[in-house]
Amino acid sequence: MTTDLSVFKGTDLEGLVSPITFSLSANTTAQEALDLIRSNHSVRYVLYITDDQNRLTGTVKLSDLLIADPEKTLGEIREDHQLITAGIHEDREEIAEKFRDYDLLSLPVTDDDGTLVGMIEYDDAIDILREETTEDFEKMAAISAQDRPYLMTSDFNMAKSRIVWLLVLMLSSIITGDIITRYENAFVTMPILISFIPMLMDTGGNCGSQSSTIVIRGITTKELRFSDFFKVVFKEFKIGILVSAVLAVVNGIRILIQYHDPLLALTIVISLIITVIFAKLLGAALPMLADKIGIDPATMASPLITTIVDTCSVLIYFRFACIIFQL
Amino acid sequence: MDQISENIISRLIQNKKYPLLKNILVELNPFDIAEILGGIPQEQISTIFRLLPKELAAEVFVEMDSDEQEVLIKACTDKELQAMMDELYVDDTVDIIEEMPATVVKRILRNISPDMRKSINLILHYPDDSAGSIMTTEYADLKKNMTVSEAFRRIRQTGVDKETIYTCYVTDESRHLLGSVSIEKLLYAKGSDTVGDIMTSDIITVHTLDDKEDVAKAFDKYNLLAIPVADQENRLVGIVTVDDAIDVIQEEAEEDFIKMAAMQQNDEEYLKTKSVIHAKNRIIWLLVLMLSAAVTGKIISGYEDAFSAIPLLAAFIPMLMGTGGNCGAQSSTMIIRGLATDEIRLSHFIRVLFKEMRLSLLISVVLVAVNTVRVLLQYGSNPEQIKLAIVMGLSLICTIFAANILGVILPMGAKKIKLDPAMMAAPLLTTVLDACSILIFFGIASAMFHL
Repeated sequence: MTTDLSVFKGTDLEGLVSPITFSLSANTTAQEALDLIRSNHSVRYVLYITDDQNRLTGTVKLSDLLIADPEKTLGEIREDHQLITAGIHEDREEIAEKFRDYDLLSLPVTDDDGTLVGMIEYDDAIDILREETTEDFEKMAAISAQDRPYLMTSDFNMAKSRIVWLLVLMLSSIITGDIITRYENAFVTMPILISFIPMLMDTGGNCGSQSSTIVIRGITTKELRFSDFFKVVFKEFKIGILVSAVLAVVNGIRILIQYHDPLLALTIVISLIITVIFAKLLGAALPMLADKIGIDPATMASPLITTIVDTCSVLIYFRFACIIFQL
Repeated sequence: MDQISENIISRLIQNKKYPLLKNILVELNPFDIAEILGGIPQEQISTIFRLLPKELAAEVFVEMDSDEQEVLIKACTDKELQAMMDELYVDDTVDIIEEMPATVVKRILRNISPDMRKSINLILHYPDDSAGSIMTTEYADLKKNMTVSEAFRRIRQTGVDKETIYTCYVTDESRHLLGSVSIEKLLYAKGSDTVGDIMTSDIITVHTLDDKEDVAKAFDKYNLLAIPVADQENRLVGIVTVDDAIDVIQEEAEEDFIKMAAMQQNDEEYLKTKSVIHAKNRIIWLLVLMLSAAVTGKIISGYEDAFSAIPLLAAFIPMLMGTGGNCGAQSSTMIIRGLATDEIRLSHFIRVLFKEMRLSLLISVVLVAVNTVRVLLQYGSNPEQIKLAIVMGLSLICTIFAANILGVILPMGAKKIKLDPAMMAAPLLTTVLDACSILIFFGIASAMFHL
């Protein structure tokens, strides 16, 4: 009575599902079930009860089976919770979530009619969890998903998975460069202005990366929902103010000591504050908005946000510099 | 839980249709019930919780948020508390206690059996990140000379209170661990065989003070359901089960995410943490990185003449820094993650280094080609612009190589000197990289344009 696994060909679950090798009905007694297990030489931690159409009607934990009175039927000792099942076309991430949320040792897979077609066991679940987490890490570094571990991926495929985003981000950073070109007069007159660009860009990038990471992980682990949007954005705004205050003071003092130019310090400090707050707001808002419209929030991670923040912060910086120094 | 069921349940709660609500709730999984309780106003939680039968109530309790657990504990009588605590496993009780304020803990400890209290105290004494802190003392133990039939009898008598009976542990009179026997072996054996005949003596064991992260990885590596935990004298003290290992793996991954974005760990949930605390977790690294970016700035100010002469050079700084940063993030993320999952080991250093170098070559070819075309299209193709394109191309190549190579060396180097590789991630890497790539860029530019 081995179930046919060919139905999984081409699905996300291919290769993960084990066949069901014998069936049990609700009338089977505990003793009969144990005998079946022994003769089929196939111990499972969860046993599946099916009706005569092979539809899944209940589950029995092996431990309950062993402890029960041998004459009791499976219908009497079955678990009385709602059945947790997986569909043939579910993706791995949903499977992993079910294992984790419900502490399962085994997950039955049924088709649309409820017919039992196979099961997924916990050791595969651990593998899936690990793969999904790795994918999350990679997405947040702007790498497209790969199938195989690092060392086993060909150079070509690895380069392919990195290059797409690199190209996109490189071309967008050109916009930032063009903005700088427009302010040529400013920095030819005051070359010192250029030397603060790395600090502005880096700090903006780090701030954006901090808030986007925490928000993305919050969304992925279901700790944050879109209904929390305003709470989160407001929180990041407050954090931005606190953080930028400290950074501005430290940096302002440093500039005064190094360059003795209060106007310069003022320009940098204002640009820094605006950059930091903007970065935090963007880092919080973009992932949540992305999730709302169905895009994976992890794409709104550090690389993309940094690039957007860079462009805006350079613009603001030079505008202020021009105003303050009348360039 | 689908939306329709959620709506029905909220309606029933609002209208206080408790008998009907109870019928629906008892059919659900503890996890889902806990989610429902998490979504209703706190005053109503204990009323609805009391609808549940004892066993189900305990299972739901374990899945609830610590805030809601506290509310419930405060709302129930000592007798109710006692009844519920009786149903819980030791490791779950420890988890709950760890999240409660001292007064609540005292009340809980007063209302549990002396045996349970002993086990809990034992586990609480182990350091936070150790195997001892995530284990449970409720394992199934058998003696070597038992027959299989006797073993089954014992399992049936005591199995209800055990965390798992799928792996049973064989000990001697002094509780020294002799081996383990799986439920499969017991089922396939003859009633007259002894446990000693069918047990496995050579089993994976961990010690109470081992790092819980290593223990969790062992589950992944050996596909185990449970691992025995022994003390210094190799006496069995408890077991760690796969569901706890999965939780540890999840926690460690979340920690890595935080570290790689240059933040300090936060134990509380995001929305429950005050902004000031969040700011504190973020500021240290921001300060460090900001001051190191000032170094890059200093380097640039040294080349003031260069971009006074050729202002266009300044326009390329964002692209250089951006691309370097993104490449560095990509390689370091993969290396750090690979180290965390043991897919990459320190012994792979040379292989990984050469792989990243080959990748750098492939990536630079594409990026430089695209950029060169862009520069020539945007600025024209007279000798000055061609020189510019060459300077850009060369700097880009050097930056990409440096980024990917550092992305390997820094994390693996950190691991070698026993630091956490997750600290050598994008923020730190980018700062180091920026300084290098600016130096290279202006160095080449000066040489090319005789500045």
